[in-house]
Amino acid sequence: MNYPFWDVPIIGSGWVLGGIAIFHVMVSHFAVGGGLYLPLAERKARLEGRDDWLEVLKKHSKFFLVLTGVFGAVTGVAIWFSIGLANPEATSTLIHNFVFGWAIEYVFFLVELTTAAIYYYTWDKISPGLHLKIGYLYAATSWLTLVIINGILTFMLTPGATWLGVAGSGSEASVFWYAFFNPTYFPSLILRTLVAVSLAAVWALVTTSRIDGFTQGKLKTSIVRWSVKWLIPSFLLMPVAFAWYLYMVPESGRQLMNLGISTIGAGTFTHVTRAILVSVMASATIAALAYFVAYRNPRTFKTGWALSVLFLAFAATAATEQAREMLRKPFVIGQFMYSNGIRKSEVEKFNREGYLTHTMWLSPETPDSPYRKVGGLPEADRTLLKGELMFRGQCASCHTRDGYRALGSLLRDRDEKSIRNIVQTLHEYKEDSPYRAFMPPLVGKEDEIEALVQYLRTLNAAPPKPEAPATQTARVDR
Amino acid sequence: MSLLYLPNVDPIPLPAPVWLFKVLHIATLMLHFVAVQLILGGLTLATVWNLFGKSGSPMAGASDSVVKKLPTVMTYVINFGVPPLLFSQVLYGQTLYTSSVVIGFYWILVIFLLIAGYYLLYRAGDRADAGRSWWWMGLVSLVLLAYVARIYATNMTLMLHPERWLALYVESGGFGGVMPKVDPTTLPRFLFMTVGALGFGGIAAALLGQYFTHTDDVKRFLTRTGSLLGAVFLAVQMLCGYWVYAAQPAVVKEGFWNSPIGYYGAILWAVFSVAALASIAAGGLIKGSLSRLLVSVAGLAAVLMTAGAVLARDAIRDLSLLAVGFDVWNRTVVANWSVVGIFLVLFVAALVLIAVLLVAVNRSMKEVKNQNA
Ligand code: HEC
Ligand code: HEM
Repeated sequence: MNYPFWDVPIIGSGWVLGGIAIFHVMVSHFAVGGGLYLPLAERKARLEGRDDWLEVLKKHSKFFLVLTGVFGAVTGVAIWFSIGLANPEATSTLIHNFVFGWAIEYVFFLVELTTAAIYYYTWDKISPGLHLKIGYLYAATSWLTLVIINGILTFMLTPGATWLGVAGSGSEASVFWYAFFNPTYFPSLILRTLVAVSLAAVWALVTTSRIDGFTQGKLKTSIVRWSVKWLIPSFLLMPVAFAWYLYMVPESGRQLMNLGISTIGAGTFTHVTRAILVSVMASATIAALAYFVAYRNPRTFKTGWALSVLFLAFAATAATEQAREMLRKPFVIGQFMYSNGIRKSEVEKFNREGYLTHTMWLSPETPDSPYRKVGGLPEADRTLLKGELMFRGQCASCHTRDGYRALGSLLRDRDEKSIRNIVQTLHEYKEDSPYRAFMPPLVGKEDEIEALVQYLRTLNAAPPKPEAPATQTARVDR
Repeated sequence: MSLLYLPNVDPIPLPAPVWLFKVLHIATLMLHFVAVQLILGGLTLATVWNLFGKSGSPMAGASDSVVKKLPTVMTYVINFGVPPLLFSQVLYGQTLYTSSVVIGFYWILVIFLLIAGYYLLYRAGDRADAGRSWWWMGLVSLVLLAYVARIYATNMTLMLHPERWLALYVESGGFGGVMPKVDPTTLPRFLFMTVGALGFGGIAAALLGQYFTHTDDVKRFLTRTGSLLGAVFLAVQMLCGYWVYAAQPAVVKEGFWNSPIGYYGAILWAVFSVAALASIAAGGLIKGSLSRLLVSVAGLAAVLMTAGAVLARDAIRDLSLLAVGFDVWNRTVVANWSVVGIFLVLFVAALVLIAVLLVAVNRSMKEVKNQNA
């Protein structure tokens, strides 16, 4: 354990990150799609001399500025804060690889931000031609931020053979562009662009639904219908792009999905499939609502409907992000680093030398490290402290004790022997182990593994005994 | 002490030399600090003026005028905060990631404080537009943002002290909800940025008075009061700056004057602090176009003063880390210059593009105004 593990109760640090990420994806993709929607709508309005459209667009652009500027930008920073907390080791790898990728993204972001503000503040104050140009410039730079960040995001799923070939040799920087334009780069870029375009429609429905359909029926009809059309490209192209994406996903990820499809409705292996199903169903419902409710009856299209569409889009986004996350398991960086920050190349070393041998995160009372004072704790408590660190370092990035994906309940009906069996299976990590598809190998020496078993026992044990175990958490709970 | 207290360095070498990261880090951090001082100083002044200024008075007018600018300033606080965080993770990741996790709850709290504080600025601006009082919103926002500054000052101190991490981590059960005991350097550091910000805030208010169209009495109020407060608080900030230095452990103080970054940084900071102080004081006393010039000079001097402070601060950090066995210059570098080059070219192109845009927008605004007139 190199960095300390950020131990968030109940939801786990993963969901702090996940929650922020889902929200950010919704807003940031809107920032891209909406950025194209605005100037194209403005262009149409000007060509057709529709001043009433311009009024609507002005309002929409204020909403757009605050939503993307405050919530988009800050949640973007938030993702960064939370990945650093939830997985410092992986964040460090990404930053060492892609620091200038991020720096380039930042350049586009700077232009994006500036043009967004100018666009909003200069309605009617500068010539229409220049205003439109600024709108297009905004659209271009915000899409370019996606072009950059997509390289880093897809790298995590599929770093590609070239980068993996040099990983650990010290010359990673020489293959920057291979890592960037990795196997899932292009399908993912197309997918994300399509999502951005459809989110432009979804959010536009929210603002246009507020137009009064009785006094401004014509205006509402034309603008709602025009907005709905923004969903068409996605629904035509999404399946193709998605298929391409899956085709590029590594075999193991697809296996997980096939397994899911063949065992639908049962077993523990349906995560990916379930998530994809939710996403597909939510998207289909959006299409149905958009056509039957909004397109066919634009005048009576109420904000409540628009918010339902928005909610469905949230569900689809959440499910898709969840699926992407599951596809990547047990890795955080495909074939290179497991979700718990252990590099694939380090497994043997940790098995040989021990996982906790060199860590500075042993509790002061634990005797195993020459750098720490040996406390007067009874043997059993020392074992539990070690076991807790094993849990934090190797399991807690995916499991909590008693909240999300709780080991307490996953192990509920198991006695010590049966827990030891599972733990040994994770440690041996045989080719045919079913856990390989989503869990990393458990590393460490025998005493460390036994300490984990003892610790896990305390999680599934019935009510805690009066003298609570001397774990780091227990001490705080007191 | 030895490296036993630090996590291992990332095995992937740095993709560019340390000096380049240092330059980028220091330059962008300076911009961040300028923006932070503007937001904290500007918001404090505006809130106090809004509380005490009677409706229709120049004081109230000045407060509304300042607060309407603050959402945009806040955008740049965040925007200029991003690159130094990126570069400091590259240079100091081993200690920065760790100290952040050790106070993880507070570190993530920054985000929520930020969203609430930022949003309140927009709301306060809307109320100012509607001619209503908003000081309590400003006050809440100020408290939230000052707490963000407190968390930053704490983490930037904690990252220098690996020997404190384990106890804090254990005490908080790994969740990072325990604040470290205050270090003798944290308070002066925090005051330097927060109370000191009033110096910069005062200068900014005077600049606002000089360069934006206002009624005459608002203009006079902004210039006079802004200059006065600017001068007073620049002096206070200088005292805080000395206090930051004096509170350092002996080993840092000894190394400081032998480190070129510290030495020249401190001189730059001191010289331009005095220059800013003198010109803002003079600018407030003198009337007419000379006043405008002096206030502008003070603004420029304040930026350079901030640059000096950032340099001196950088030396203090590196010396403190060296004392625990972390040498920031000692890193393996395998550069990929093509990527660095693309970044630099794009960066310059973006700045040019923004400049061209602003000029074009300005010109077009004038044309449209003339047409309408
Ligand atoms: C990469 C993420 C990940 C890590 C790390 C991880 N697991 Fe899991 N684990 C999972 C997933 C996903 C499941 C399936 C959960 C479900 O069915 O709800 C699971 C299931 C389990 C189960 C239930 C298996 C069954 O057959 O019922 C146990 C027990 C378990 N994990 C123990 C551990 C232990 C012990 C560790 C640490 C050594 C660990 N896991 C680390 C992802 C992970
Ligand atoms: C998301 C937005 C922000 C980011 C990314 C950010 C980033 C940073 C970084 C990287 C540093 C230290 C750099 C270094 O030492 O290497 C810093 C310092 C600081 N920031 Fe920010 N910042 C943000 C918002 C704020 C806000 C809103 C405030 C307060 C209004 C603030 C106040 C400070 C202060 C006071 C320091 C100096 C701390 C010290 O060293 O004592 N920051 N910020």
